[in-house]
Amino acid sequence: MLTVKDLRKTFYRGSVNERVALDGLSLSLSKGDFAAIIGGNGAGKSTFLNAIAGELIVDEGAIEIDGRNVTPTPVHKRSDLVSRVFQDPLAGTSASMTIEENLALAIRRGKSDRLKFASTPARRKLFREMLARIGLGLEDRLDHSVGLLSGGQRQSLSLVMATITTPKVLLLDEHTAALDPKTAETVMRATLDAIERDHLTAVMVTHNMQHAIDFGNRLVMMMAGRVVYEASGAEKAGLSVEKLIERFHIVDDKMLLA
Amino acid sequence: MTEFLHTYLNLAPVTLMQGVIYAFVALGVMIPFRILSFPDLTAEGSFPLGAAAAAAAIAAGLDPLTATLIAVLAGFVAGVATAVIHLTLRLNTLLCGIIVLTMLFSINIRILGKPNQPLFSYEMIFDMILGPFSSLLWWQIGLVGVLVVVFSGLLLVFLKTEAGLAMRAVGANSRMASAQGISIWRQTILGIGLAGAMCAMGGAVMAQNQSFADVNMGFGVLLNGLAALIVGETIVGRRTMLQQVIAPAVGAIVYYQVISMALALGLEPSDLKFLTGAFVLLMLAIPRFLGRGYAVA
Ligand SMILES: Nc1ncnc2c1ncn2[C@@H]1O[C@H](COP(=O)(O)OP(=O)(O)OP(=O)(O)O)[C@@H](O)[C@H]1O
Ligand SMILES: [Mg+2]
Repeated sequence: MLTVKDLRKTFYRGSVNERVALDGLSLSLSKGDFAAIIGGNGAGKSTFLNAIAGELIVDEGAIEIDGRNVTPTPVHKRSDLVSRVFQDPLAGTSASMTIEENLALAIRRGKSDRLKFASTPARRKLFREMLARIGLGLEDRLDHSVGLLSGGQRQSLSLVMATITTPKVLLLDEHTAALDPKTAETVMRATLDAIERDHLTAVMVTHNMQHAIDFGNRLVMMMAGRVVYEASGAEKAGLSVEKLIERFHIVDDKMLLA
Repeated sequence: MTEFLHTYLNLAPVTLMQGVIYAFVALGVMIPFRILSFPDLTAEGSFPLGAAAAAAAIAAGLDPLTATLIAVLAGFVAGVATAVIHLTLRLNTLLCGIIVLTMLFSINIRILGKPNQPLFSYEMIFDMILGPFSSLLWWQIGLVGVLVVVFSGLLLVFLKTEAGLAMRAVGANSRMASAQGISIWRQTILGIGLAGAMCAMGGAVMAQNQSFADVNMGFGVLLNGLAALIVGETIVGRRTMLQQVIAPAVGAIVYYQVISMALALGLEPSDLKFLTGAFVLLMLAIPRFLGRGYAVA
């Protein structure tokens, strides 16, 4: 479903600030795979997700989603294949628009812009049902401006928006990191539900190693722009935070916290 | 006091006419500033462009409706020019507008063949549609008023469609818009083009109303439009799309009545630009001091 081969990306090439963010990264996910990505700060995790989403065009390598080579394709032209939930709750939604309008934007993702009314009774019903599944009461607030919502509510809305059209690949970049623990759990629960329900292929970056071990069927560790460790199946099931720390001499605090 | 009233009442219909005409400009300012978050000055060039194009077409013997249509198309192209410059060169939007409006000054003179064009002996859109009533000011106001309502209504309907929602998303959160498959290029070009078309419509109607086109008639138009927009938003609000779309017309009408009062109080027309600037500054300053951001630019 998602195949990336030998991705390379260098920022500020040739200057004193030159930074190699992706250094020959390869990964292949089958349909329904759910990969949790861990790695220290600056390992290139966000850069990797940005490359899949198209926000960043890689210097070298190839990205293929659902059999389509999207390596040079800009964000808006691959949005029918990929959707994402950003780390920043403000990034994935539009504050000045209503909940309904945000969802109406998401449901037309990948289609051409039509001169049809965005709001219809059938759609409102569908939106209500989808929002009710998260259990935050957003289904009764379709006409409220998103700017009025809390971070957790906005992030939940982002998640509904990202999954409303059943993307080929769902990208999650520390999407619960900016939330308080209880809200983070609600959003994580909704995420797992959505992935399971629609058998989504998903890539989730997290700093929570326990989450990476517990969730998903693949675990990927990145370091310096490369995949340094991969586990799946029985090997993944046998992992523990202690074993990972021991094996990789992890001293990065941020990876242990959360 | 009675003298003020007398003067004001005499001025009122004339300034009402101006108000409804400038409603087009206020609409053309609202789209970039409010829908697309693309502070734009092109109005200063597209308004006289509309006047020049319509006047030249009429003087060349075209019927006033076709002439107005040509003017609107020309305004659209001017808007597209500003948008494309911004999108390709990543220059500040205001600078892109200044470049285009300055270039338009020369273009407008080329279109007219001279700095101004009187149109007294030609048939205007007013003559064409109003027939025997064409010289009656209230009928003229009514005609332009209906046009403004139609344009505003169409804009409102558009903004409620999927395509309109996509345009609004670009102004509201462009990163999110891209992620939802919306082309920033396409929406910006369309929206700024539409704004240019509205301003040019204003210019075309203005030229036909005063039977005269002048390349300098754009001077200060943007600030007038912005002032009208702010007045309108203060009166009707801007929370819903309906309010946002009504605000420009309401604001333009009220704003020109205030101007008419200022004139009745004895101010010179040449003082008005200063007052408009001061007014816009004040409206921007008040929320700052109250600690609330009023995002104009
Ligand atoms: N837009 C950019 N411009 C310049 N350098 C960048 C940019 N984005 C990332 N980098 C650099 O690329 C490297 C990888 O960054 P990236 O954000 O992908 O790391 P990460 O694994 O997501 O880290 P974190 O855990 O802190 O989020 C870093 O050295 C970073 O400074
Ligand atoms: Mg990151």
